[in-house]
Amino acid sequence: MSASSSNAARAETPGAQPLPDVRVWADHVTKEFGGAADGGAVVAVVDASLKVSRGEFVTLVGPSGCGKSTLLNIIAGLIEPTDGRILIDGQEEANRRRHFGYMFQRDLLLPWRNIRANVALGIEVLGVPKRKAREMAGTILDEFGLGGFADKYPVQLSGGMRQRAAFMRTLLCQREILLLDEPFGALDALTRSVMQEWLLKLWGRHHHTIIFITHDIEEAVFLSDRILTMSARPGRIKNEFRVDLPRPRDHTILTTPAFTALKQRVLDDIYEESVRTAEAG
Amino acid sequence: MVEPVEGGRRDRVVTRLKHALPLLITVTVIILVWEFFGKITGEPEYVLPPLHKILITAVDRSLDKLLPATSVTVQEIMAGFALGTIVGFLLGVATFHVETLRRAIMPLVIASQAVPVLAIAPILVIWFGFGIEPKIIVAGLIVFFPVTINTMAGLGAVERDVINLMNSLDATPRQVFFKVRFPAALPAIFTGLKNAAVISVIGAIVGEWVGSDAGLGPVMIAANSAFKTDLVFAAILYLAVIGVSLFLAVSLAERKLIAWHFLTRNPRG
Ligand SMILES: Nc1ncnc2c1ncn2[C@@H]1O[C@H](COP(=O)(O)OP(=O)(O)OP(=O)(O)O)[C@@H](O)[C@H]1O
Ligand SMILES: [Mg+2]
Repeated sequence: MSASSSNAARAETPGAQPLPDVRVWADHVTKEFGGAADGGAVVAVVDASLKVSRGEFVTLVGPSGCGKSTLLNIIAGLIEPTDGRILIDGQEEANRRRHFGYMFQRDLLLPWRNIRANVALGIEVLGVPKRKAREMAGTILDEFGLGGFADKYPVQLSGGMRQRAAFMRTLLCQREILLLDEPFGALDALTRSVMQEWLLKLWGRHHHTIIFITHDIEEAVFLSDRILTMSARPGRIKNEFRVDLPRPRDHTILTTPAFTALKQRVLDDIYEESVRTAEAG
Repeated sequence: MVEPVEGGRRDRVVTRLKHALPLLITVTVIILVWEFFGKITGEPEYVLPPLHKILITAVDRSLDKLLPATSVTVQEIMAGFALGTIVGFLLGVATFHVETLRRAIMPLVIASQAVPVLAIAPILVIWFGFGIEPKIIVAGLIVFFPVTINTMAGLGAVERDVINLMNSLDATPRQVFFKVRFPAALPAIFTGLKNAAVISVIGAIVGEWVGSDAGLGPVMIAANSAFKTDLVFAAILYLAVIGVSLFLAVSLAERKLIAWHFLTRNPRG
């Protein structure tokens, strides 16, 4: 952990104390990749700050390559920021990985493990004995209606099922904070909307704290309490939108005026950034 | 799914036959030419004995000569294969994980493969004598290389994202190795092992060739200088059977141990 001295000073400043219910606080995070040796640094994230409260569903949207995954990786403790810091419940921790259930853009199921063993992977790594872990995986698979596929291998499942299995692997670790990087990005529209409702139901039961990434603004509005838009690279947090749509939500909300109006506002905000990215690329 | 099972099975047999047909034709032609080579060209029999003579010799001389020799050679091959596989695997794992070691050793390993084993074998005989040891070492020496190279390649073929997944679970390096890298490397390792199975036979025979009084090598040398070409070919036949058997054994283990690797996408999926 490399908290610079200026960061340490900031933490002691009165008024900089986090709200009691802030679980995740990314504090002025900047990330540069590579150096002069690699032919110049890529600045992926610049001075990004965000706070996520307990039980809140926050979504990051932004054009491709703007640094969303990088920011999530920093929060998760997979890469260290060049500058800035991450606080969990107001604390800076040397190893914060254990706080998060991280779901990657791809399902990353291991082809040599059947679905049950894949779902058990997370808790096995955490030290649950193999047999017990597989038992627990079997139970959660039954619970989510994939029990019949427990002995199948990943190649034998559809994309939607694989994604759900990856989700269960994450859920079984029982982390209160979920980091979800475009979990439905690779799915077809219909499966995706089923999965979105599934996720909301799940969240309605467990009230995880969720940081969600997507390209899909409709998805962001449908799921979130709050949406943060990011600028084109180098990624900054640009604007914040509160989503005051009633819950529980289902797909019938998609055509309501309040929904489409908000969707339009977020779209307008992100549109110029996407054009900039497209022109640069 | 809808087609009748019986019809499906018959179709499969027919396709298999169709696929095997070219091989059947080549083999038949070779057998015929071989069998009648002497009759066609008028060459003496010891140049290329007719096939049936070779088979007769292979059976007639099995008990007194060929099988005892085979037992010695098989021991050398198995020991060489085991030695080369273990050393090759460990070397692959070590060089994959320690870059300094990779830099320090890999050039030498590659250079060792550029030197013909036939040149090294006599030296090994001087060092280790005429017993079984130099043959095991020669076999091991040519076996370890494909195992090492394939182990390294397999361990390195794991996607960055999968490692990230393991890191997000706060996995230890040990867990990353045993739960991800090693199983991911198995298909490549088996490719190396199948390669190794075939060349281990060559290793043992080269070892026998330069100094030995037991095994199929000496049988061939003696038979050759006595113009007993049928016995030479009979010994070669034994060697071929050994090599193919070892290859099939490794393939069978592969099918059993990494069955997942042979799964194909479910058409419904
Ligand atoms: N390890 C790395 N080394 C160098 N550059 C990197 C690295 N990881 C990401 N980058 C660069 O940082 C920028 C941001 O990448 P990132 O993956 O965070 O974007 P993203 O917003 O998640 O994009 P997408 O929407 O396509 O997933 C990109 O230009 C990328 O090339
Ligand atoms: Mg990304």
